[in-house]
Amino acid sequence: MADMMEYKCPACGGKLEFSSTEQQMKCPFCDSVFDVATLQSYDEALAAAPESDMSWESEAGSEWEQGEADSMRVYHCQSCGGEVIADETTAASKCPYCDAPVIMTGQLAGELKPDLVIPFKLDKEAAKKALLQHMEGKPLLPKIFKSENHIDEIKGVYVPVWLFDAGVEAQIHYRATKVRRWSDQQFDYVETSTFAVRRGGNIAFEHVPVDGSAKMDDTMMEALEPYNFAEAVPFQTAYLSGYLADKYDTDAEASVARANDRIRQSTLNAFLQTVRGYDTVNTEHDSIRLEHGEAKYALYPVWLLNTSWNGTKYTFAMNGQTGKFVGDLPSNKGKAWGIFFGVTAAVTAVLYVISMLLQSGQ
Amino acid sequence: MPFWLCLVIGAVVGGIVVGIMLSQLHTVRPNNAAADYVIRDSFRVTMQDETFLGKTTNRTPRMQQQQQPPHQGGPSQHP
Ligand SMILES: [Zn+2]
Ligand SMILES: [Zn+2]
Repeated sequence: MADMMEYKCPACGGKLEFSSTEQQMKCPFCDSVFDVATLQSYDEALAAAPESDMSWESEAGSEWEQGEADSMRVYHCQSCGGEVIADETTAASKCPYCDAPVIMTGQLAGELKPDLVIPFKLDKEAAKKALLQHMEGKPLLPKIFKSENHIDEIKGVYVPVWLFDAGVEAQIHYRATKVRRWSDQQFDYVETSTFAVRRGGNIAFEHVPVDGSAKMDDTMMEALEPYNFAEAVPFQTAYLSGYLADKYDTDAEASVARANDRIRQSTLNAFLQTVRGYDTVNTEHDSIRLEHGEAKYALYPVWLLNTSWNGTKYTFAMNGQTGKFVGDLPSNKGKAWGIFFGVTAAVTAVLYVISMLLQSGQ
Repeated sequence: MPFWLCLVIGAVVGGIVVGIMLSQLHTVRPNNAAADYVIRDSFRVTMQDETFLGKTTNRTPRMQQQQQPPHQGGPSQHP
């Protein structure tokens, strides 16, 4: 054993020791026994596995044509610093993100033109109806919150998103165990077999969206998903008529990390589902490479309502294509405690009475 | 059932009821995966294998009626 290197126990991660009696590597922590040659090839496979690579090529967006840019107006919000654009026929007066007045600062200059747009499918009436429905059937929502909402302030905004395509090549190593149990007259036995499991293959993603506006909450945009990309059309300024459009202020390079994380997670999920027939499975190493990533710049429709209540800001949003409605609501803390104590007292009393009756019946 | 146990169960039920009501108010949740954007039929597993690394067997003495307290036995090897 000249080149005896350090091995970690594949079962528990402990440092293995060579057992001269068994002529095998033995784990002092969990008593697993391993064959040296197997361990060696296992470690070599791990070391040879390629590193993850997630680079992108981006040629998203294009230049505005002269006639198009002339008809667009840029508005600046003095309260939150947001900038929105609208066509010359649509007068913007309030900021969709903070509801403060906006002022027109001029025309578009040096901005990218979106590649694609998903047009609004649902109108303001649908959005108002969805908001009212959103507040139904929620006992802990303060009643007064409903009545104080300035529901007419709901605004249609085209939110800039970056869309990422990627082909993924993945190699994933798992450590898995099978457990067998049996008994004889004296003992219960538990036999744990450990396996190195590998999977490799491909999967591809298209149009993974990432919010390109710093003013729009990223989590909220994700909560509004999914949008049906089949209805996206090449961008034309005509679609903006009557709506505000935000401009991206987070570029594709800065947005790609979020798309990568989501693609990575879905890739891991897809391969993990193919590792079946084991009692435990742990992912030991993965190399996930994205190939030929391409980014596109698009506008997605969102109905947005910002309100303040008791000094806190609340934002509601509806997917302007599917009608999915999200928005965190305040809770009535007093009522929550009331319900907690009420239910606790009732359940306790019922249980206690039942147990007393059972006892006296015996 | 003693009273304290009734109270504990009651409090757990109360907590669950209020927890469900509070979670109704929270709808802005991140989407950490991209499952909606997988290209149809693009998922291919081109390599799969399994290597047996080893096994370990543990045995514990069975309970003999109610009389004798159980002894913890050490693990034994069956490589
Ligand atoms: Zn171990
Ligand atoms: Zn603003």
